Amino acid sequence: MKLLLILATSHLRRNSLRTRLLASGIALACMLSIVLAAFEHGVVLDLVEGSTALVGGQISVVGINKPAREKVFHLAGDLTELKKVIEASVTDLERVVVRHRTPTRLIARGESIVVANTLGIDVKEDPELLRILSPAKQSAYKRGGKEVVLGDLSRLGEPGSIALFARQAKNLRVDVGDTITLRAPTLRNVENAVDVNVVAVLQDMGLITSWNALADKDTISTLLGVPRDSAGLLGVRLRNVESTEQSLAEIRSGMTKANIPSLPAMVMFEFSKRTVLEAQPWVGQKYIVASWIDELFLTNWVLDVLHYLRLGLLFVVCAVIGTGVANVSLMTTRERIPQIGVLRALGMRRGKVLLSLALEMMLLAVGTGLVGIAAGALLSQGLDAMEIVTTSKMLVNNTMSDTLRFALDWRAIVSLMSALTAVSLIGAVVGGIRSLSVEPTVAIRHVD
Amino acid sequence: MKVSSLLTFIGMLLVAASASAQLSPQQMSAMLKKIDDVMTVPSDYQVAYYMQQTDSDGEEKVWQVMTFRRDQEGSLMVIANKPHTEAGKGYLRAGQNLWFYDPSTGKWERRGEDRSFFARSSRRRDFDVWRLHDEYDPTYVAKEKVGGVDVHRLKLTLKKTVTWESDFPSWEIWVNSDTGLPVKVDQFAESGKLMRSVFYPKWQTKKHPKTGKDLVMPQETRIFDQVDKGTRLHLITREMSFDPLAPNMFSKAWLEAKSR
Repeated sequence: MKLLLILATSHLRRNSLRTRLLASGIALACMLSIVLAAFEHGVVLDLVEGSTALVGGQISVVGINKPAREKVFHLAGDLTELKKVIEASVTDLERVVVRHRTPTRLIARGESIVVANTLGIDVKEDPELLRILSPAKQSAYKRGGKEVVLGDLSRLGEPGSIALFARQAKNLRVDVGDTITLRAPTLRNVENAVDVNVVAVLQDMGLITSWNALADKDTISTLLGVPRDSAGLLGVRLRNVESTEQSLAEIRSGMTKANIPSLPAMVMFEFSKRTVLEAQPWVGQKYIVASWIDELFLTNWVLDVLHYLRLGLLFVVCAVIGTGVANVSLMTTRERIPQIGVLRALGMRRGKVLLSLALEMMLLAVGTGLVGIAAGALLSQGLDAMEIVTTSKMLVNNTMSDTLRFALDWRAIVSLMSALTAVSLIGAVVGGIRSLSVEPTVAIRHVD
Repeated sequence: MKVSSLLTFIGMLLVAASASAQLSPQQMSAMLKKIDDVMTVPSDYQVAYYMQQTDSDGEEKVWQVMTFRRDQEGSLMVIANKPHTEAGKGYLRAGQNLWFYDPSTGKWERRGEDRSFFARSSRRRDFDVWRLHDEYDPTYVAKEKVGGVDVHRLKLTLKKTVTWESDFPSWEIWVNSDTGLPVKVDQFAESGKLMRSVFYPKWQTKKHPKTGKDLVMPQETRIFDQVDKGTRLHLITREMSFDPLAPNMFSKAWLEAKSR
């Protein structure tokens, strides 16, 4: 083995310029791919954390109340029992968040908009939600507005308070401090309305925020004409997003054991859900149990695009490195034909010769690849620590964050290393087989 | 007679006078029943409405809608004829459900009583019988004057026994003490917030051609949206008819065919 290593390194040293050029190329390609993979992973994490915080958790259990066949309310009574069932069933549970989630009409200054998910929240119970939201500057929603942030999201705990997203504030032509009217039917199906005070205007974060608004939980209880301990949704926050599927199964099983009727997830818009539920013959109280992937089906395309982008990137990097390695491997084996002829004449087996060639390519590709990966990891950490703020609306809308995040993904590193090893081995074997096909007696004739 | 005794006597007279002006629960109930009764048509009925909505920013929108009723069955159908963009859209009450049909999508959608009827401030009841006696419990507020007319001001609260949908859970209604017809209505949300103020400046009386019953309908209705301040709606009733309607008229199929 030592001999094989000596042979591989000596040949690399002999062609130092070519070796350095290729090594630099491989290291640079690896470094860039790791930085891009870290960026992509950061976007995915931001999107998942942001969107799950907005819908309450990785799993949502939404109360559906049907007092009559065609009447549908996003409501449940006292959720204490269901909460206990979930807490007892889910092994990876962080905690359970209780919220209202109901469609309302917002009216102000002659304008009105329908908000499909008006969230009634208790700010003390929802720290994740407040963490992902950023206040918008007045210029973002008001013509001639100043570059200043007005309002205070922490005031959302006050009775009769609401926080709107910038697009909603713009459509309603309201600012912080203005009063707007929230309108919705009560459980008795009579009209109700309450006046609320805009305490904050938040940055838009994509399509998802256009159908969400945040109000004080007690205010929504008053609007719906239900007791204060009532709610419409339990958001199940998990320690690890990877355990979503398992936790879904645990919740469904726990609910079945406790005789709490559940409904499967409905992957569709809120108004479509209502139409489907109205057509169902049952009456009473049931719960839709859905994962964040079901709830955020409209943003899943972003995750899919990023996933395919990552695969495409890996393919390009592998193609570039593979072409370089294969090319060098062919040149190396051609140059080493006399050496191979001597080694073969001295009795070295074909396999060992092939191993020697593979070692040379591995040292070149994998060794320098590791250096590139390490540099890429360091650069990603550095960029992440800089907390670069982006002004790109497209990026903010699709990532639900205005700060660029670079998160190292070990899966990307392992994939890249595996691909590098495979490509260098294939390159070495292809070149090696060609050189090994030359008879030792012919090969020796190539000696200068 | 001492002055204090005289004052007490005068006070008692005033109390007695005000008590006689106040309506008893039976009288109030009869008053609501009368309003419902004079608006209930004993046969098929159709009427055209012209609606003009003026937004708070001054923008105007106009509709012409046809209303078809068969009050004995509780059937109602309202179809828009104009403007062109709204033509063919319609509402149908079947049983206790109110359905909305949009010919552009070809879909039926169930609508709650809280939803508007074409114009932003209108509701189903503006085109239908009122059924106040069945749905609301009255309490007397005061005898007042509205526009120089003596009126009884009543507060109406939705009965707890009502199982069907209703638009507003409480009203205040000013009823002309001479004619027994409403002059003004304030409608409130469950939270107590004033939602609409409705004025009835003109009522028209028509004798039913077959039964001879005197029917009374609002000839003109002015609705002021109290949430979306500044938005108002003017409804005018025209072209009333008591001719029999097609037996299968109050069905989804009929409205779909008509919309085509």
